[in-house]
Amino acid sequence: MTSKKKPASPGRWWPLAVLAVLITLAVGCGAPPVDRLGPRPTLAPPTAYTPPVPTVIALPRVPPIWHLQRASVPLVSVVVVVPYGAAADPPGKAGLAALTAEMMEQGAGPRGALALGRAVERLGATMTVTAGADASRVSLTVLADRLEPALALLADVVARPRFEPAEWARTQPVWIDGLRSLAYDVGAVADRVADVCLFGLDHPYGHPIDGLPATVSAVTLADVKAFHARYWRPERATVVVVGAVDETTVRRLAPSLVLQWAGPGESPPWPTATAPAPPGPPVVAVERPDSPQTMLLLVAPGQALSAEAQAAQDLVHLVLGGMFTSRLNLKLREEKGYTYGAGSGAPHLRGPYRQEASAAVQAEVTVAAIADLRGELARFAADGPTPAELEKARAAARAADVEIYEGVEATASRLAGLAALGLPPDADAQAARAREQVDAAAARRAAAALGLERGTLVIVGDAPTIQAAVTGPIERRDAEGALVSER
Amino acid sequence: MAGLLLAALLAAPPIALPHHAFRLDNGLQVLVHVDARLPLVAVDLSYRVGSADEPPGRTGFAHLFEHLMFMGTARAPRGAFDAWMEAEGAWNNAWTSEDRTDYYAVGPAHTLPLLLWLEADRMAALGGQIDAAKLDLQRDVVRNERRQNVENTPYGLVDLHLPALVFPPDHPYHHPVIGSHEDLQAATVADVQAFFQDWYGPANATLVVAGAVEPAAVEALVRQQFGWIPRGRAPVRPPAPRRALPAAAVTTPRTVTDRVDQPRVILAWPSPAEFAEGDAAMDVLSAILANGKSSRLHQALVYGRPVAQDVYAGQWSRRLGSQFVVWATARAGTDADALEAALREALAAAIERLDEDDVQRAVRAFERTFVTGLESVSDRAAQLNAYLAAPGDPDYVARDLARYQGLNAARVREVAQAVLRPGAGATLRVLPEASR
Repeated sequence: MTSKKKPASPGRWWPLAVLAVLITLAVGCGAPPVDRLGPRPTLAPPTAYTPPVPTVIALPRVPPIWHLQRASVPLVSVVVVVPYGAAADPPGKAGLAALTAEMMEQGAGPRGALALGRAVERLGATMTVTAGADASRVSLTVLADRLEPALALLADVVARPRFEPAEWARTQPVWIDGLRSLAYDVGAVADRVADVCLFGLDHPYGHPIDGLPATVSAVTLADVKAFHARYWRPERATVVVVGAVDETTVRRLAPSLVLQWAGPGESPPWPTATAPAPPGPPVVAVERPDSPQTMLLLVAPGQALSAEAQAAQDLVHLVLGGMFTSRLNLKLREEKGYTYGAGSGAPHLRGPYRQEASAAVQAEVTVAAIADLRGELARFAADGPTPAELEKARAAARAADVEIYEGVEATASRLAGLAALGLPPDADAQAARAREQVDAAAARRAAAALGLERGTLVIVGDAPTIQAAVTGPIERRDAEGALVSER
Repeated sequence: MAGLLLAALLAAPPIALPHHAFRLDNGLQVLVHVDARLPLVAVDLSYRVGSADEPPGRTGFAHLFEHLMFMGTARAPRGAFDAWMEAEGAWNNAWTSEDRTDYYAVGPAHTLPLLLWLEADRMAALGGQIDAAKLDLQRDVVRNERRQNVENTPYGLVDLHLPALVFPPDHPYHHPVIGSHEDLQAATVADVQAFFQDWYGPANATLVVAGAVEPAAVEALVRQQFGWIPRGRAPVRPPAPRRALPAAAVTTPRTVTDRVDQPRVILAWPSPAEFAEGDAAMDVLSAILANGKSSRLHQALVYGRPVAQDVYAGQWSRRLGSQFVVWATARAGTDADALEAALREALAAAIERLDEDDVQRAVRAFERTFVTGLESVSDRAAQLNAYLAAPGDPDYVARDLARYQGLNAARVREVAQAVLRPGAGATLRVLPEASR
């Protein structure tokens, strides 16, 4: 079954950056024999598909419930989401939202950490608490006939985490060890260095969601309790319920979710979008001695976008680096063989975040790969997508909508993501309509606005390789993003 | 105790993968699974060839060949396979294991004729269309895949070293699927053509179509597009050789260095083959040991002592014989000797003490993954093809689940003690490189 596949079985294509959304017949000379296969098929038009819109159930003293019934498999996913995540971490305490989430799993209600874990497992359920940049969530997936006892456990975790000192004493050092390990993961290093360079550590988007060893060391259990009390509140939460459960049942079970859940003190303000980052330095280098590959990550500040501009940007990123046949992948992988995959994207956050394009390239071809990467970005900024590329991206985005909403767990997660950003339940349906309206001019404007051709190149690799590949000033940083003085 | 009773009373989910089956005269076996809820279709074409079938001196070739399958034919020139598919909203990928090479595409339902046509075209014509330029290009891509996922990833070297420790030199699994740079570099166009001739005929393939489709229409389409392709050779795969560990692996722990922060100790044993007696028990054991916070090894080594920052256990099921792999990564301040001693002690204690509650929790998790793992049409297509490959019965899913539900603590312990015998396993240590 699914758990049996050995991880990392070599596959054909595994892009570094995966986007959120996602003729002629050659004939030989002479009299050709009849082709038994026949010509390339002509296809019927596709069936239209609109992303489903959940019903919003409003009950007194209960957060809004977004409900989508799915009878296909006997499974239910429930997500409780609040619109506060790592962006709400106080300065110097990066990682607080993530540690709060982790500590919510370490015992709740009548059960300590191990008892809670066992209770979830006895139901065959999964329950995780996670923090992102803009939101935190508890996610439960369980077979439908075990929903009710599972919901009781979820309610404990949301409203009655124990936050015991003994659990904190266990959790914090293991978390720090994990962060130290990340310093050896080139993708993670490039990612966090890029954010530090664009935003600075104290900006809501400038620090890693999981924190850094020093900032996590500064977090106390009192900070964790205060973060939970302030931000995990029913008046700011949304509950998403997807799967084999009808509305009557949801209405019956809903109150149990929030019983006695309302902390003292005032509600925190609804989060607002931050200002865009200023332009970063041209080149930031992180040394990795004798690295067989050079990690290249180009980033540029994201901008606040209208719904129309967002739709156009999503489409042009598909063309640039969001599909196998994207510009970057065809050039760096399929034409040159420099990399296993190249991609681009722009994660959707509440405020303007960043544009990114990346590839891990063979160390020996670093100079040529940077030139090709920059060349493709400049050409795309100047010309935008071709009409055929725009239609290809539209087809890909339409198809991606169908797949996003195929599974119960993925659907619940998607809807929770919309709720966390303050978007309406039909946001994906609206976005789908907006994409259909994007014309060639709008796509050209979106391509020109990415700004990646003049972005910051974060380069992780061997020092002599970097020295040879880059002319002009280089800002040197360590694997955690701290400035390194010149030798 | 109340939890145990509750779990025992809960009904297991009904589970089935209904399908329409037929076989073409050239040997191609076909299944059609209908699910019209969404306008989606998945095509999964599996060839019974993997790294176990590579000729001497050509490690990594089966996977390199997988990449070459996308490099174009006379009908669909280089680049067209992906371009035509993506223009219609479909996408594709492929993977190679020791035993199989699987090609799949997922797209809007209207793309089915194109998805099948592209597969039929390359099944018929690919071998003669590969030249040195195509081979060189994908060789570079694959070597970069090796660099990215193995050489430049923390602990990635484990994948390179473990096979030789667990499988003896004459075993088809002795080398890693990704292969060596030297062997990848040595591959020739003639190798490509011979491999295609030997392994890529319809008689060695199974095709599954799943989604919003009409079985009769799919059958007609498949017969027209694939039926004319010559049967090709019927490859013979040798039986599994003996399963003794390489002697050196038992007596000498292997130590490698990598760019990592802390030591990791990996223990690996030869274990029952996929679907063989004991395979499911070892799967359940892996969940008991390391799945979740209350799992035995996590509780002992991460939560209790604490000497590890993470633990892992897995039964890596394969046709000719599996590996059971356990590892722990050290906490700062714990050295590899102390970690290994603690891991071995915790493992022995876990097997000694595992109880019915452990087994029931693990079985509940497998029940859930049988449902979540079969939600999408592409997952169902892949699983049907997996069941065709082994145990050879596409209706196996309910019996597959029953393998887990029939287990109890005594049985899991009995299998575990037989497989994880002292002196029967290999030890691999990954140590941090000295800082430079």
